[in-house]
Amino acid sequence: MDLKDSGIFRLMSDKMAWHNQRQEVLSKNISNADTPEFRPHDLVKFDFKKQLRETARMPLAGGENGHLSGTIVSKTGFKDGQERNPYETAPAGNAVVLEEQMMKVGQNAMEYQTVTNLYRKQVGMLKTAMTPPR
Amino acid sequence: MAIPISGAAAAYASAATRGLSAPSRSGPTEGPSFGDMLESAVGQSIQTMHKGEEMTAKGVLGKADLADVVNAVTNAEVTLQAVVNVRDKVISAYQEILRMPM
Repeated sequence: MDLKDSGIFRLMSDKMAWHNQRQEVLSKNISNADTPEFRPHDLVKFDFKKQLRETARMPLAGGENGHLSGTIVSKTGFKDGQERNPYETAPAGNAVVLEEQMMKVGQNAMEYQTVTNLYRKQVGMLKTAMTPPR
Repeated sequence: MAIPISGAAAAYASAATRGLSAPSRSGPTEGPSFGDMLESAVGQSIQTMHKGEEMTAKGVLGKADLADVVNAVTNAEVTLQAVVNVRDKVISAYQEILRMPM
């Protein structure tokens, strides 16, 4: 039994993967807090419908070994975007504001915790429904 | 998720009409029968579960107030536990009847 067959669990694990990747991006920003000409990155906001559309895109089928596979790259991660208008830029061109990044990290952690709690609740309900009659 | 639940509801409904409404028709009371009561309770429980799932999805997407999400999920959990407990009671009562000496 794969929990991902059910819509709500797929949604929740997708969201958790998004938070996971966002944490990576934010830590990369923080570790580059003093790199010249570095602009902070952030993930595009999580949108389930957009996510579905991304995964529903089909690759080109090839009949022979030598056929080209088309130009659509199959992406595994979520979309990563550079900050368009950063809050402030240092003279060296670095645009990372540590306070801002820390706020984002905190928000990310909080939302992740919310999703894990909801996940636990849903799994608990499934288990309740599966208990044999006493 | 939704398909087995509605299937169970249909099974409950058919059981209620087949097994329980027949004796109530012959009885002198005119109020809603035990079967009707059970059916409406089960229907309400299913609605609560659906609401819990919907609010979970909204909460994950950040489209709902967190307090509402917690409320709905807790409601769903408690309702499910109540339903499971009632089911256990019914089954144990049935087994008790089966064990009765003829």
